[in-house]
Amino acid sequence: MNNAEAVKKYIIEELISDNKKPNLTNEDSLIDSNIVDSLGIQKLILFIEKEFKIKVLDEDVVPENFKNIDAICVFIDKKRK
Amino acid sequence: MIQLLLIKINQLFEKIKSQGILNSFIEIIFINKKIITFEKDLTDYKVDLKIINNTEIEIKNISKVDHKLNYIFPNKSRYLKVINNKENGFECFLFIRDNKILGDCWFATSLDADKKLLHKDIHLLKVRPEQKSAYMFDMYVKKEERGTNVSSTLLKYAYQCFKERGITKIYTYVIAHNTPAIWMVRTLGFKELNKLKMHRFFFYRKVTK
Repeated sequence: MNNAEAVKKYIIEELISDNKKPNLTNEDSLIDSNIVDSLGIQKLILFIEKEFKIKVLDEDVVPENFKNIDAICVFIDKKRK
Repeated sequence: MIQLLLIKINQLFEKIKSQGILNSFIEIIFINKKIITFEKDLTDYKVDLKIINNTEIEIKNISKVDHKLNYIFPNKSRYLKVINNKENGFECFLFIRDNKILGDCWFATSLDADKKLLHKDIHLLKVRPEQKSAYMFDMYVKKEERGTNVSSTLLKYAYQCFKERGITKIYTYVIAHNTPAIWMVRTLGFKELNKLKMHRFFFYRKVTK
């Protein structure tokens, strides 16, 4: 499973409530659709830190890094370098 | 002073009940906690208030008139805090459903050019507020309502109200490890002003660079 698939699987299983977004794509906004809200971001960061063994700092918690699955993957790659 | 002490004692007991003794004391006795000050420019701010009008919730600004607080509060300390903040002349927006308060947020405001933004944090945080600005503080959302957009709806409504009254800047601060709060202010379009360190011993707080 690649990074995007792992992130998507987590979001669908843990952050999306019933029927909120049945066909989530990698480009769909996670902010406008309220999938990643203030509690969702906390869960997502804990998952990313554990799964990809990176440390997410407070300055990383910006909409540009978590606006959609593609942006999250770019952020993960950047942090791993 | 006695009222403030009463609020703090009630808050501490409620915290101990929900988080345990150690976690409660960690929140009120600490050194070198990183905090971030933020500002938001309201010049181009626009929100569709229909979102709020079309739902079963009410948002009330209780500072405009001598508003009677005939609501069910989440707990005793929150009720005392609302009374105390109101008496100090601060402005509050309440998020209400079925007469129950689900969340509230407070602002110190300065509308007139010669009126200073009066809140002790302004001096503490070394913020130099512009004229016609507001300082946002003491936001509360009932535990079971967190993650349901209570805070962002409440704040969007408040900012629109402030904009209509001529306020152009909102200031606030957030503790850096408070990820939900950091996320909320950044998604609401706040820009970072400064990173500082806060030290606290019960009621006494000090901020350094």
